[in-house]
Amino acid sequence: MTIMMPRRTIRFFIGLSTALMLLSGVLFFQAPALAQQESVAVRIGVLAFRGYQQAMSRWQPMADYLNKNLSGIHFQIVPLNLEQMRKATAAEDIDFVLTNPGNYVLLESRYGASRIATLKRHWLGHAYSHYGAVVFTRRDNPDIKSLNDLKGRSLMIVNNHAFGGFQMAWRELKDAGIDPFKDIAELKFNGFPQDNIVNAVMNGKVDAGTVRTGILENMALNGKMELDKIRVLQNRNVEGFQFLLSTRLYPEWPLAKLKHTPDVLASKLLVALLSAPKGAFSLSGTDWVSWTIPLDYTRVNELMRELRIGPYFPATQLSLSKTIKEYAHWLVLILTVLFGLALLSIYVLRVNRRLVDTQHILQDEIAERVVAQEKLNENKRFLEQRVVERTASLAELNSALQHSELTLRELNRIASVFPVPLEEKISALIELGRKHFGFASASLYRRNDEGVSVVMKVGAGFDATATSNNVDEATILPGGIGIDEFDEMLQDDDVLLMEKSFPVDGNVEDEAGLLSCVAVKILVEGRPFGFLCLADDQDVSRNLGEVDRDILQLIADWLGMEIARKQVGDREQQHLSDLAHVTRLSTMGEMASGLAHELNQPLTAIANYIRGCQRRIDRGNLEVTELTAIMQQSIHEAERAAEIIRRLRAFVNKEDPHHERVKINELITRVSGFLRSEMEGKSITLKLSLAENIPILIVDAIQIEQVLLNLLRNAIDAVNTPWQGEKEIEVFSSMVQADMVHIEVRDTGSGLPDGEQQQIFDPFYTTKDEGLGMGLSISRTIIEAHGGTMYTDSSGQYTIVGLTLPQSGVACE
Amino acid sequence: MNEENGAIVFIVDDDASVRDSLRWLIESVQLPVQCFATAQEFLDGYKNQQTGCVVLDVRMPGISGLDLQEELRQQNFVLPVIIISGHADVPMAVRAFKSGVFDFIEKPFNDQHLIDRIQQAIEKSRSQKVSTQRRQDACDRLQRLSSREIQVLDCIVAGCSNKTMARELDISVKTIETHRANLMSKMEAGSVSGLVRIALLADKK
Repeated sequence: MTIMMPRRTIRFFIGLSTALMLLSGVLFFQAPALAQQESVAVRIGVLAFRGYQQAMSRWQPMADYLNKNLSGIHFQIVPLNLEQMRKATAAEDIDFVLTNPGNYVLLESRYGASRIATLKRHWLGHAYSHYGAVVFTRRDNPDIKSLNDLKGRSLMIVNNHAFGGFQMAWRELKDAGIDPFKDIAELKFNGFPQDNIVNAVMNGKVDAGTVRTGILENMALNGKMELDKIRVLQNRNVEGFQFLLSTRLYPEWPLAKLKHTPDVLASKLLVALLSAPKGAFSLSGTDWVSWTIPLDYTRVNELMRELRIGPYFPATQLSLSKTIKEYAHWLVLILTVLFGLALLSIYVLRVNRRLVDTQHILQDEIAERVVAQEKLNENKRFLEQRVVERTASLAELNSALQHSELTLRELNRIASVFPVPLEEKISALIELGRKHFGFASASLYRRNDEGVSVVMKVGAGFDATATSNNVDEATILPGGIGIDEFDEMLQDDDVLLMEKSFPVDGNVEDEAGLLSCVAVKILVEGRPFGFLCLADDQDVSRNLGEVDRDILQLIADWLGMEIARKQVGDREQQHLSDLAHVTRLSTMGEMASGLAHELNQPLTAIANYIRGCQRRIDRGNLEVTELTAIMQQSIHEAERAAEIIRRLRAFVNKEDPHHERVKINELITRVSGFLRSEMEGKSITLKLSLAENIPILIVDAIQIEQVLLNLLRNAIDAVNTPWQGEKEIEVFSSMVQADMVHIEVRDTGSGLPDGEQQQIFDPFYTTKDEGLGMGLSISRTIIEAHGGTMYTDSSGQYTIVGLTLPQSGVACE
Repeated sequence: MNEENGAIVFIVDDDASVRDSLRWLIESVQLPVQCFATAQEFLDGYKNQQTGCVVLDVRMPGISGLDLQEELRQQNFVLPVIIISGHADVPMAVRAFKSGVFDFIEKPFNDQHLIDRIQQAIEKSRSQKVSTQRRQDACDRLQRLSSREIQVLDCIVAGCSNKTMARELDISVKTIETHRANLMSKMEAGSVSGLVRIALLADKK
């Protein structure tokens, strides 16, 4: 090419002279025309994709225009097909090329063609310097809705080399994962005009087709088809581009100068083209073109690269035919050998394939067996694991059961032993839990309105020396569980059991650095009460087995029950105390007149002594010796009055039970004293038959007094009836057994109604018109609280109500 | 006052302190006091001729104050009885007054009031004793009369004339007059009105 270039240049420049024109005319067939017009002949190679005639008729108007407007230069349209164009370019037979973008890119890369303008197509008032392709099918074809659906279908294209008629669609298909030469069942080449592709699709000859943009609209405009009968695959919408479109847009055809073409000529041509009036290169009535400055064809390059065509096509093809000719006989030989080898190969392959097939089958079988074996092994391992686990868990369960049996036995013992003070029972339960789980300490935490407090604590441990019951708010339970979390856990139904172990240097708030802690929630009558917390400063974290959990839960349940019982007991105690107080008050009311008499006696005496003194002083005959004796008497009387009042107050006052050493006989005498005057007033004889050998008992004197008073009052009421003959009450005290004091009150009343002897101890049982009916009920409760019993015996002539008080259990002298 | 007449205050109370203090009080007004712990003791020791009064506590073991009062009345004891009560209720007071107690005093009492009443009781006892004595005299004199003289006395008291008497008794007027003279002398009456008063006094019994 480089050798040819100077010749071309020379030819061009000396072409201005006639002489060389002639020379040129000899060399080229165009020469006569050049010479005739006496101007420079410029050849524009035009890609004649629809035949020479069509190309000529299409582009001749442009040449005419240029010839008219550029004097001295004669433009000639040279229709060429792709191959001719390549050859002409290579031979520098043409000066400009007007071709499709794909071909242009090839010429650019191979022969240095360079675009000077890009075609602009006008259609229905819009101008397009880009175009694309549309892939379409019939709308009534239900099977094809996207490019992917084209697999296994027939597709009609222009031909392999058509840029708009195939390559654009090819790129999209490739992007969609479709190789049109493999995946499309039938690739039909239609050639031109593309209208036929449309028709073939519409007629159902092919499933789909691709054409450049504008074809469909044009046909529709001319009534050759209807756009709503087709479906565009991968329909794209590009702003400003109004044709149906399936592919990317590419720049329109370029006009390119070749390497040897002078730049001056190119610019002249460009200026002429750009300044051409509208419609200068009209193609048809509605379709005309103009030129614009050259666009960027990189995108076309990309297409070529992706499809490995044009400049990117492996460049061996050129020499192939030559080689074939030169080495034909060798080739034949080789081919024959190859054919033989191929046959052999095919045979071997077939045998081999059979072997392979067999092997595959065997391999498949082996694989299956391996898989099956694996599964079997896995199952076996799983089973073994299960057996091991189960055995371990059974062993654990067994040891836990053995351990638990002792605990349960102990639990049973604690629960069944009666009567033990409930505090002791609760304490024993907590200790049991602590021992069973091997923790250093166990604490019962209680949540109440004021906060959290330790109700009870057993075992040595982290704060066994602590005296305060109030727990620091920051650490309620061991491990820094605060009051909020405590409450949360308390209210959370799911949290029944909490296990924690803490690292030695972790943020354990406890000074002693607790390591383990198990806390179980205590419910009292279904309501959260607090936690039983087992804690240790050693790591005793043993996994709690199911049995352990059950036992812990059992202990917690039992604790809740005992606490509930204790609460009920406390409430009953309080209630009893209140009731006893009320009864005492009402008893006092009943005794008011008698008591008034009791008090009046000493008061009267005192007053008498003093008045007597006064009168003697007035008369002046008071002897000092006399006076001393009288004052002594007065003081004695005052003390007597004071004693009565003191006793009354003690009796009436509701005091906490306090046990004191009491001589029972004195108690009986004192109580009788309360009622003496009343009985005298009612002509009741009171007889006291008190044994000498009664030991001193430690009892609540006020309570026992109340009981005796009650019995005596009942006896008084029993005998104090109009029809009563002999009114007699007798109080006995004796030691029936070595350690049992008996007190009996016997009256000569008419006895108790038959069958009501035991009812008299029931609350609200009364034979009196006014009376609460609580006296004996309370009495019995009091006596039973002292460990004694009450009983009754009655006939028509008498009633005995008796009680026993044990000497054992209370200290005696 | 009238100690020399031998009026005695009898105190019956089972409560030693009250008994002693009463003695101390009553002795302060120069009245002799005799104390008894029970009603029975008093009944055993009392001599009917003595004047004075009885101070009783209403509540006592054995015979109560009220019982004693009733007992005394039945035995024609003339001593006024003052009952001291620690707690007076209305039925008890009514019963006491019905059985003729001199007074019913409630503890605690005003010492002056008690002493006043004791003295009034003694006075009453004394005057009772005088009137009793007079009646006894009248009765004694009446005993001296013959039956005819008693008939004549009845007629005199009824206000009959000698003639009427003679006609009724069917004796002579003269005999009537003899009886009247004997009558006046036996009854130690100075006049007919005196005779009638003595007769009425004796009749009261």
